[in-house]
Amino acid sequence: MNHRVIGVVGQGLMFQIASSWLSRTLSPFGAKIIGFETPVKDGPVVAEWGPGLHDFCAVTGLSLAGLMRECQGNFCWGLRCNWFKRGALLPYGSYGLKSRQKEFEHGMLRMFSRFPERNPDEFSLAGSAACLGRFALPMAQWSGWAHAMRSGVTLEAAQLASLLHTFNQQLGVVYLPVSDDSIPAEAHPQVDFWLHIASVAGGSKSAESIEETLLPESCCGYSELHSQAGKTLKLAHTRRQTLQYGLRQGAQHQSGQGRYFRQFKRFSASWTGNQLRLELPLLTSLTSPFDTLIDWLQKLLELWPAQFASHALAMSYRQYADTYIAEAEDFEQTLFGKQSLQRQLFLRCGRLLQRETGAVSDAQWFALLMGMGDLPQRSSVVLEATDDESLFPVMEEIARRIRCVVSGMPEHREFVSRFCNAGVPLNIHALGNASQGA
Amino acid sequence: MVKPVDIVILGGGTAGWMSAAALSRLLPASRYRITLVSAPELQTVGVGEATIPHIRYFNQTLGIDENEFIRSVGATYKLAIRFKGWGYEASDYCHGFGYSGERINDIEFHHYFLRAFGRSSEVDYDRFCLASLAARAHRFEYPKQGDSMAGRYGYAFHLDATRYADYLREFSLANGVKHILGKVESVQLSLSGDICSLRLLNGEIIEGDWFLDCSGFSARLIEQELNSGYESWQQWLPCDRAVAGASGAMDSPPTYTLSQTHCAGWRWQIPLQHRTGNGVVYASHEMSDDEAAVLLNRSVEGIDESRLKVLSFLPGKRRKSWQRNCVAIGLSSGFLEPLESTSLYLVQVAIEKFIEYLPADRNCHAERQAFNQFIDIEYERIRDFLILHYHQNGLNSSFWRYCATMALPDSLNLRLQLYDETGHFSGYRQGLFMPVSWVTVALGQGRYPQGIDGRMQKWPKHQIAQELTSYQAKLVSLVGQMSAHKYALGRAGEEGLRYPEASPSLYGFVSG
Ligand SMILES: Cc1cc2nc3c(=O)[nH]c(=O)nc-3n(C[C@H](O)[C@H](O)[C@H](O)COP(=O)(O)OP(=O)(O)OC[C@H]3O[C@@H](n4cnc5c(N)ncnc54)[C@H](O)[C@@H]3O)c2cc1C
Repeated sequence: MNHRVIGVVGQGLMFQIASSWLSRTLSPFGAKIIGFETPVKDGPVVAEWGPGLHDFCAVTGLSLAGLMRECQGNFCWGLRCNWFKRGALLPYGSYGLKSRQKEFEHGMLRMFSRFPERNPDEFSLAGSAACLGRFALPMAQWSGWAHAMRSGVTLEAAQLASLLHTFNQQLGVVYLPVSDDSIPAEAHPQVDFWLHIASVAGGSKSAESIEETLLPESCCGYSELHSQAGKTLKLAHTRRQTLQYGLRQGAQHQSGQGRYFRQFKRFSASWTGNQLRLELPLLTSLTSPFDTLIDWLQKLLELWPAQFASHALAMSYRQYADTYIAEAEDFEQTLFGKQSLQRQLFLRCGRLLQRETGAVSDAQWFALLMGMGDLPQRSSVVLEATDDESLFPVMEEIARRIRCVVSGMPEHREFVSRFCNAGVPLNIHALGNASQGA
Repeated sequence: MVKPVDIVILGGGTAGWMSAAALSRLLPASRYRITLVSAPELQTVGVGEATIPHIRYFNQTLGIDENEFIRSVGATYKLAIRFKGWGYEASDYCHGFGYSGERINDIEFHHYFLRAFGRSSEVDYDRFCLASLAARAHRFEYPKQGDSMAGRYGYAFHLDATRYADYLREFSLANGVKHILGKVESVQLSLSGDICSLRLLNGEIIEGDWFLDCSGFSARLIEQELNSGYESWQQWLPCDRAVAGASGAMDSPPTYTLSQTHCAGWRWQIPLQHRTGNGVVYASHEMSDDEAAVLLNRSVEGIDESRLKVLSFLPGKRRKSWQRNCVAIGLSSGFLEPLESTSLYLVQVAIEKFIEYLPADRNCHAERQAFNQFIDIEYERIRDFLILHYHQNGLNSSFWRYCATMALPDSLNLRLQLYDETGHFSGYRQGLFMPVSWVTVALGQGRYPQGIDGRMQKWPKHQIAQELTSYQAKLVSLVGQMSAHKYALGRAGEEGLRYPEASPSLYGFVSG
């Protein structure tokens, strides 16, 4: 490999994640990772991570059970919005049971137009399980429903960062403390490629520690967006702590008591010469910055070059990141009332625009628009050939099977405790054998 | 009772009948009335004979039995397009409906290929694609589902366009479509500018809520009435004419469409069961119709000279395929030459999207915008792919020299620069051609990147070369076990032969 040395610059959890990922994916090819660590700043206490964590575990060889155990993790089916008019959960998983049930969501729309009181969560494994505080991973008897059971986790951020720091050292990452991220490249001519990770907190640190026993029962298995008195609070829970912060859209930035408010801060990616800079705000309302980081690292590897100083590479990467950001923002802003084409189209015919990145899934868009109370003027014309009397029993049967699958799941707490205590080591792969030959 | 929605299709070519078949099959007859108007005195283009695997998905959605279809339209199987003389005189590569090799360690296969064999390769990249290998050997077998080697490809058909349109007409009529023969003489618009009705030469008036303009190049509604506008892409795709003719059936029909360059364009050869379709595509400022006809005669034995058909076209796209209450489908919405057999695919996706978005009323700004956005992306991405075929060449004629030096669209420029510098083609979610197709054409036409994936240096070249050679030997042995194409076609005539499920992918399966 012509690039032997990759410099990762930054601090905190994002920096550690990027270092682990690059180390695991590139050291088998002879690369060396140097972590230029800037002074650690305070960040949020809870890290909310969507399904991208499973990719991270698969690549690094860290076990999900180990991370959950060490970092007081909770599983998370998605994000619950307390003001939603129909349903509540923005699920990571798909609706229905199978991944490719054609027009399933349109069957749901037909039901809602006839029975407005029905709830989308009834047709989602995640939504139903979140309501009942149940959880399982798609293993054993649940393995057939992998797509519907996609989930994320919430972990203690500081604990995870320190754990990854140790892990990275074992992987051979060399840490060099630096005072800030403006490192003169000439001072380190051995570095072939620089990755700057700027994780912007968006406000001063604040969190309320809550005793496990004090956590409300309903907090099992999801994060929350809570709207009250004109303010929107984001809540994410580990087994020991709850993170709360306020969201606002204006330019104003205020600290509240025990909470902090932030304006939307954009993700961004810029590439100049052999330096890639990723800005990933840690506090976001909908899109997990950790999932974004993993997605963008995957893209980086997909385009991994022999020479980094390529204008076309910089442009292509930037184009991808910009599209990702636009799609994430469209989603976020629609939640706060923007009239997007996506929403207009949905209101008309229940369809979603084709998207170019995985920033937001179809299920999340569908849940959001349903949650805002949008009922399309019409649903699938193809389904019109099936009358209500034939369609509804099929939909009811799927809802029944979902209830049945969910009722077979353990309580979220019980699952977490069993899962964490099953004795799975943190680092499952022996070091150094991540990649064999061609 | 609610009045049914009237959908009027203008045009009885392949696009018109594909639309009629799909709408009549998928929309409830109690709510939608489908009428198709066509003028027998106005000929259809009738040369859309080469398809891609999506056609199987279309037929499957309609519930058409594949074997019956093959018999009815004189179809043959198709696994690839074979490009001869593209890029340089001696080039000969296949763009197969499948992957070349596999991703290893999350790195695309072509990086291994380039690391092993480099520029001066005695081994061609397409020799790692099972579909391409089988096509060259004139063989065919269904992909074996779930098999990582023998299951990673798709297949399509060569078909007789006139018979296909007839087949779909029968199908549509049986599903309740009303067929009116007559030429549209004038069109009545409402005050808002929507189309209210079509008036035929015999005075008959046909009213409708929605109008699908499948009137071919004349774009009778979308352009002549609604002035949608046309974006010409001739600066990038300079061919604007074709002369087409048939010859006799081949003894051993190949499972590929042949595309071979000449000094001012290219020619196709499409094997059907009962005849062979041929044509020369050319730029009219470089070659006259007579010269093209002579070239066709010289290149193919037994052309029926009395039935040569000359067609002219302007490559490009309607500015808005959906304008007011009218949606253009087929040649009325744009034309991209048949180099990669994409026209019927574009017809198919337009129909699918129209059905998805079919509005409840005329206040359909969102559906229209979303549809037009979708169609634009499909067209532009195929356009860029076609331009690559022309642009990447070192051929020595004024036509090819122009193509090699012409300024490219920005989107393609960036794509090619990225490939040249890094060996990577960026993937996209919407669009037909994945990186493997782009690599096949680039390498097939002699465009080698300066760099490849930075991780490849880990492995010694000879080690990869050894592995790849043994992989290729396995592919060759799989081809050896396949049936001769002619035999496979005979088998399709047997009752009850089961065929694999179709998927909407060029490569036979949808990943992820
Ligand atoms: C040279 C060439 C080669 C091609 N090869 C391929 C290929 O290999 N694969 C592929 O997928 N596609 C190919 N195509 C494209 C393919 O032929 C067309 O996409 C397909 O045939 C659809 O055509 P159409 O139905 O839109 O138009 P047409 O076939 O032109 O049909 C138009 C219809 O509209 C009717 N009409 C027009 N005006 C009026 C009027 N005023 N009143 C009443 N009726 C009217 C006509 O009667 C006719 O029925 C090729 C095209 C060309 C030009």
